[in-house]
Amino acid sequence: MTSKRNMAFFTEVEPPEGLFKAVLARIALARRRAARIKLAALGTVILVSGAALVPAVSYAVQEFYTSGFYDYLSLFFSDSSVAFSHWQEISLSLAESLPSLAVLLLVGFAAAFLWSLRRAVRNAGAAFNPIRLA
Amino acid sequence: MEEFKKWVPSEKVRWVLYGLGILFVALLIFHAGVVTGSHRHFPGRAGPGFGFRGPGFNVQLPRGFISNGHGSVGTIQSISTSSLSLETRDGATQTVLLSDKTSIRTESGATSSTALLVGQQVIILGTPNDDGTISADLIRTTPSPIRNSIRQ
Repeated sequence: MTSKRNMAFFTEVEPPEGLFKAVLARIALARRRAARIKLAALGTVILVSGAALVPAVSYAVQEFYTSGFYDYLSLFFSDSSVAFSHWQEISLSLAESLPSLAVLLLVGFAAAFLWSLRRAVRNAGAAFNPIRLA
Repeated sequence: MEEFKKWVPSEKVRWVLYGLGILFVALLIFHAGVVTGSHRHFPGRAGPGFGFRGPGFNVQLPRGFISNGHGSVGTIQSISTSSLSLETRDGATQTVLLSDKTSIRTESGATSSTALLVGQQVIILGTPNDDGTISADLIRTTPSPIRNSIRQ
């Protein structure tokens, strides 16, 4: 009964001219707005992770120096015969002196920066392209 | 700019991101292992943490390295016949035990313990003991401004 009434409505009532285009335009507008909000969020992530990369690199360099990682590694270049004869202790020392927190922060910020940049570039087209109607 | 726009969404960048993700997870597991292991086997020897201090809070994150495990790097503070005291780069004091088996080397080759000077920067390799000392197998001097100024 209801569907018959609906059918009658659609056959008898003529939709206003340009409604179809207006609906499509509104959908495109909503999509563009969502893309811009997404782009703003990704831009914030890019800025924060990009800004954090500088102190993260500096912190990692300092921690590699403090932990002595460079020094253990340098033995392979400066005194290779001794380094190879004590390879077990050097390997353990290298593992123990790896400043994992600093490297973790560096890798995390680099990954966040690259990921958000990739998403932002892919999203930029949808956010700034003019709305075109078919 | 066009090149950059093409490069960023490319497959190469996707694989770099996968690599960074895998590295991140591996480092997280490694860091957790180091922190847990250092607390169990070297209580109080894991070194100072990386801290955030503020009004009403003090969060200390473990740095993830042990400065006096199977090796140590620092400056000689004092020397005796059987041991030497080392100031590590994170400010801690480390006792290193010397024995007949300890090999001492400079940039020019093998030498004896008499060649070691206070203020010299050294790399120690050895075995950690339960009391926090290291029994040295190898002591290798490294060039440092501190040592040069003392020699002059």
